[in-house]
Amino acid sequence: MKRWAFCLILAAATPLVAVEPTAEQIEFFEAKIRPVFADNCYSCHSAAQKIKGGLRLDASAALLKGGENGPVIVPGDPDASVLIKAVRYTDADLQMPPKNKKLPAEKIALLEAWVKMGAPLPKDVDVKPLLTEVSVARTQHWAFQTVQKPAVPKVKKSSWVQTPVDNFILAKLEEKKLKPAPQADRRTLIRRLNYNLLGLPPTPEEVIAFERDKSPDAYAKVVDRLLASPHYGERWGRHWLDVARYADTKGYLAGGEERRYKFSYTYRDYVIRAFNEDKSYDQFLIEQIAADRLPLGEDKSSLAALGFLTLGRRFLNNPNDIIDDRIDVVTRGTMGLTVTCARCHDHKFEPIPTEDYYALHGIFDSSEEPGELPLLKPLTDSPQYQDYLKEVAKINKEIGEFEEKEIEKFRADLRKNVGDYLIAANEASKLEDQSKFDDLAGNQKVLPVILRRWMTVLTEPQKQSDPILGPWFECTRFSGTNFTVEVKPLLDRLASDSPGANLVVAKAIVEKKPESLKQVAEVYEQLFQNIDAEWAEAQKNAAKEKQATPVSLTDTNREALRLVLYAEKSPVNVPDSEVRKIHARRLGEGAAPLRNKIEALSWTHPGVPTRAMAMADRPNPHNSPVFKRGNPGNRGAEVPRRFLEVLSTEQPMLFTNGSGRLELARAIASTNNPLTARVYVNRVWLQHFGAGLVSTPGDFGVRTEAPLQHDLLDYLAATFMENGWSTKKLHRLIVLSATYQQSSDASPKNLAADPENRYFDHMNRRRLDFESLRDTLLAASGKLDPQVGGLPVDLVTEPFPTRRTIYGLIDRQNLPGVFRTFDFANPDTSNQGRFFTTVPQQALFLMNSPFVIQQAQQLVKRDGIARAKTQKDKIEAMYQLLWQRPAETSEVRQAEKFLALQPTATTSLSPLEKYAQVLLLSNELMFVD
Amino acid sequence: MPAPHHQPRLEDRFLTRRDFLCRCGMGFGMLGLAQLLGSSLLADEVTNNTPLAPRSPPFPSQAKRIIHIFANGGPSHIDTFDPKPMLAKLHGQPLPMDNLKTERKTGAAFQSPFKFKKYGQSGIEVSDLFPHVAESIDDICVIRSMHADVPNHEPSLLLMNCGESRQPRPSMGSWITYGLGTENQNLPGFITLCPGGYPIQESQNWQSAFLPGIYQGTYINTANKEIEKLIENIKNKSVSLDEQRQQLDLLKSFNEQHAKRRAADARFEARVQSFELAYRMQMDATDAFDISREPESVRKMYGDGTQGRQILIARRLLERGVRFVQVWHGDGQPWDSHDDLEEGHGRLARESDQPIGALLKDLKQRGMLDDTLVIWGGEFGRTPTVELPTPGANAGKVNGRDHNHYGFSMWMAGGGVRGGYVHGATDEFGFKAVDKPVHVHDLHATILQLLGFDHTKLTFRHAGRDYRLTDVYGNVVKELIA
Repeated sequence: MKRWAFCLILAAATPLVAVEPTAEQIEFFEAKIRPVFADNCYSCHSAAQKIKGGLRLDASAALLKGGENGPVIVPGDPDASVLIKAVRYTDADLQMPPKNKKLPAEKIALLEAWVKMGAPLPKDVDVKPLLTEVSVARTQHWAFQTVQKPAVPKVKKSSWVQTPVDNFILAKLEEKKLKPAPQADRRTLIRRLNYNLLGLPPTPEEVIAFERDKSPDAYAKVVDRLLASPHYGERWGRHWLDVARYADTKGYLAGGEERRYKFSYTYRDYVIRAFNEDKSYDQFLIEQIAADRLPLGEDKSSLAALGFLTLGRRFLNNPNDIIDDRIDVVTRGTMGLTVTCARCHDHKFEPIPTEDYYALHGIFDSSEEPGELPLLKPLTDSPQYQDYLKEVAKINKEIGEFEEKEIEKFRADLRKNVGDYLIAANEASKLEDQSKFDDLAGNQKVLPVILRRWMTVLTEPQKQSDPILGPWFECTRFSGTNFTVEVKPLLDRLASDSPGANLVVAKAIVEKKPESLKQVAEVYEQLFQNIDAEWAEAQKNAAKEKQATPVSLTDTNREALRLVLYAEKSPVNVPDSEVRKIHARRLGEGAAPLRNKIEALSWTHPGVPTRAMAMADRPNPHNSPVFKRGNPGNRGAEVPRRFLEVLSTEQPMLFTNGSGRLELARAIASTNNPLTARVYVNRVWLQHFGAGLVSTPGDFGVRTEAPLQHDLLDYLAATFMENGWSTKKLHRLIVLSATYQQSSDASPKNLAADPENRYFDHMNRRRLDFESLRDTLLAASGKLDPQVGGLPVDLVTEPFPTRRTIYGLIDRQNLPGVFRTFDFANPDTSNQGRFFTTVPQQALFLMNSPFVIQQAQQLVKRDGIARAKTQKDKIEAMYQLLWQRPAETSEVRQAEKFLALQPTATTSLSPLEKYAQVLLLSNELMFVD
Repeated sequence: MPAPHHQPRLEDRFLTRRDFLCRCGMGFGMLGLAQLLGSSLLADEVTNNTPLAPRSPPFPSQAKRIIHIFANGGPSHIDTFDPKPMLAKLHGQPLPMDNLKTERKTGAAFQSPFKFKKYGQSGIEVSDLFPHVAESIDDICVIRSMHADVPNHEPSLLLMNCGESRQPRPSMGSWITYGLGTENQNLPGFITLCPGGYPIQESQNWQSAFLPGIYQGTYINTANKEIEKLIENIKNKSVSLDEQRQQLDLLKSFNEQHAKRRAADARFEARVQSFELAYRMQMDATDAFDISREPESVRKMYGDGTQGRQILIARRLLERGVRFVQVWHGDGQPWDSHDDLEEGHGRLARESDQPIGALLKDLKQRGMLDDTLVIWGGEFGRTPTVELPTPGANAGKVNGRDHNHYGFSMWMAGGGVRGGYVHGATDEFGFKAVDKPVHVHDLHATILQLLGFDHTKLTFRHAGRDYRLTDVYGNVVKELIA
């Protein structure tokens, strides 16, 4: 709207422009101008082909709007119009059509004439509204309209209806003259419910009890029981963790930094708990985005929710990439909007201007992770905690010792290399261009900072005849053409007891008879090394004899030499603080393993207090400027922290409470937000049916058309909000429906009429995902550990842990192969669903992995099977346990035949174990009807 | 900026779960089976319904498979494929230009300690580091004007492998396997070989990111010699193959009975076949990795070092229809000669020259070079100036080179590239690509073109955008194509 207004104002200010084009003008456009565009420009600037630079010339509104850099025509003023400039080829950087395909002069003249007459355009060349325009999308895109609760439609066969969901489904089916599939049998239903709500199979007892329960609410009772199970949160929490791109590690980091997050699991456990407690979804979202801004009182446990923001990849600690990841998980995860496409320019397909992105950027750039993570529970003193503190102190001491040793070693090296520095300093003193100082130091293999120290110290003795360095400076003044001749007088003088010279230096030089300046430097280097060794020896001896540490060498000449190395201002006696700076990398990397040891205590020491992977507002929140083309070095105008324009009514409300995270959270978790509830109920529907009402759960943008079951989606969203954003109530509404209870076998008629099951005229058959499969194998072997929550465990190393798969350590950098093989969620980005591929690597895992074989072995050792008297009883028990149904006579016979054929002694698996493994690999176990 | 949008999407050609429901109703189940078995006769007749089924690219292409030999760490172009006599003249003196800013400070001009010689009819100069490779120079297209974005390993490795230096994006091997599937269903379609551990940036170099996990490279540590350690779960330690066959027969019968009680669902059959494939994979994979089955003359040609062994394994994999094989020199960054370049590059080239030379000749003898694209290079090159000491970062010996992303060399051979051709040039010192510069995106675009794809159209919809290997960049370098 704004841009339109701009054009109209321009039009009004230009007298030549007719506001309403005449029929002749339109005719002129269609006959003369459009063909030019179509033949020369559409290939890069039209909806049907490409929209380069964001510019479309095939639609009036778009044409007037212009491209990424603004309008391309100024109606009435060809000279001011970018388009005309481009076709004129006057500017080397702006030539259209490109690549020397300049238009013939008469066509350019036509375009100029057209712009001059005010660029008349037909009312609406393009009938589709420009949904990338914020104001258009705000009023026209279905998903951006406030949720209105639709009336429940009337249906003919009302006896089929169990919940209002069925009215919506059946009404559409009746319209299409289709019948829903019959209700599935009880064994199928309980198995479906169990996997759907818990991710685990029902026990044989539960199946039998349900089959026998003749009460009218038998099904509802199962639903209630399952929703009350602590394992429900593990299943549905995992679905949310897919959205939250949850992982336990930071991804690739340089410099040996510890990659594991210390308390990632506190977020995972928070999510599980939130589902188990049926925390209202709006509150769930607010806590995950801004728990630190809520008045929490004594109980700080919801601070763990902030892991939603903080547990992403760390991109080598690049702050803008971390922020980008957070913007993405928040906007796509909660609202199905792909905001991060606007990092570099206005979103090409969505009404998300780049300013929107930087409005959010400011929010996250005004937030930080506190240096000390907040405690989840008040600290209580315990022997374990004291022991933890002791361990930390011990490692800190080791770090201190390591650094001390490194620093001392650094200084010792400097004391050994006096000669190199003397040479380098001499060269550097002749340097004209001081900007080359560092290069010179490098080429001389010395450190520039140390060389500077030497040069400072050397200024004084250079002026006078220094007892120690005097001879050196004298040598540096030789022309060097004939060193031996030039040095002769000096040697004679030093040999004849020259007054003022250090005797040790004099002796050493005389003895050496140097033939070059380099050899003089070597003499000094050797001298200082000797003195240093002597000093070290003296100290060692004193320590050995338990005498006082010496403070000087007895011989005055030697002591003078020692002082060159050890005086307070000595260039090589670099203070600790200085060494830490110069040597930071080595110190940091060297101590990394020790620091990592402290980090690791967080998951190895029982006394560590658990903390939240929290965020906090920075003391001075600020707005971010637009980074042009996403480049932080190229800053545009500052954008105030605020909500997305397209989801705001008029002027977006500015966020002023700290970073603005809490206001952002509230704007998302609001009944006025048209997306949040819709996106969530669609995700829940997807997990119940294996297909969403909207097929792109992470994208409700303008390219996503209104779903076939639009009314049902809105009904669910509205009811969900009316019910206080209760997920469990939403489950009931769905799973108690007749729609959900349909058989997964479609009738031929339904299949033909609705091959994709868009009408939900039968249930979709599901395949177990990675977690359900592994958990089922453990349930089969009887080894599944029912504990809820806690530290992550390494799933792929023997001895294999028996915890549920959700507790497996997720290393996003090097995710174990088995996770990938079974299409586990991508831990780097908010997921909108899982893939379900069928590949032989999955079969290899089931056939050969020690994990699966161990489960088969454990299975036959289970009480119910090991104690069964006959082979037949064992087989029947396994059928009940694994397939939740009795074995048929023919099946028992088949089993007996297989077992009889197996040699018993040749291998490490017994016939029954081999048989059990096959049951575990079966389609009957892998698919849920 | 060109952006991929509103184009028919390749993933739409995949059979979704619902398509399965629909198709099997019309009796497509058996075709799915044929697909799984990799029968090329049927490959074009049925829409792809397994992620790895072989697919034809949209355009005719000569290259059918790829081997990317990754000299990780940044091999010096000035010492290998880009002779710079000017450096000998200036050795030890500053360049008459300011040194370009690289990761660390560099000093005076540093001449190559290696000698260059003209090879083949084309007379392309190659240093004495790669005499065996040079023997095939008339089949090789040397790109002397490569350039990347930054002088650091991590982002440059990601750029070279995934076309993006920071964000998680699918690797080139993933894209290609996604686009073409693979010819042998009994082996992974994308295999990455690296002896001793991971290179820098680790498995992100062969990540599938938002593409299905099956397109991720299968990593194999070629320092191992036993097959069980090469491919996960490839051997059953408890039962023999015969016993397993009996188990699988029982499984088949279970699954048949299960299917009989239900309406047709192609996924049932697909899963049955995945077990049959896995069963055969146990034998085929063992065979593929067992180089003792090669005649002695061939083994001798490749040499018996780690490089010789892994490049010979790579050839056996290519021969068996693996679509993309990436061979890394070693874990970490072996070619990163900040110090002791003469010794380091000398050793690394001695290790790899003979096997790579053997590979080129071997492929040619087998008639495979025409449709196998061989790529050699690192993530960047090295400076023509000597690296200065940095405490804690190098040994301060002042006899190595720093990273250089402004200009470096890569070469390709076979698969339809123009042999005996040198493309582009760096400046007279070898610092920067100046003539016909080829960015990594351009290289990717060209590789995809060689495989029959328009790089702007091989896309996947993720997070509201159609992503592609070249992001919004890349121009096909037509001169590289024969």
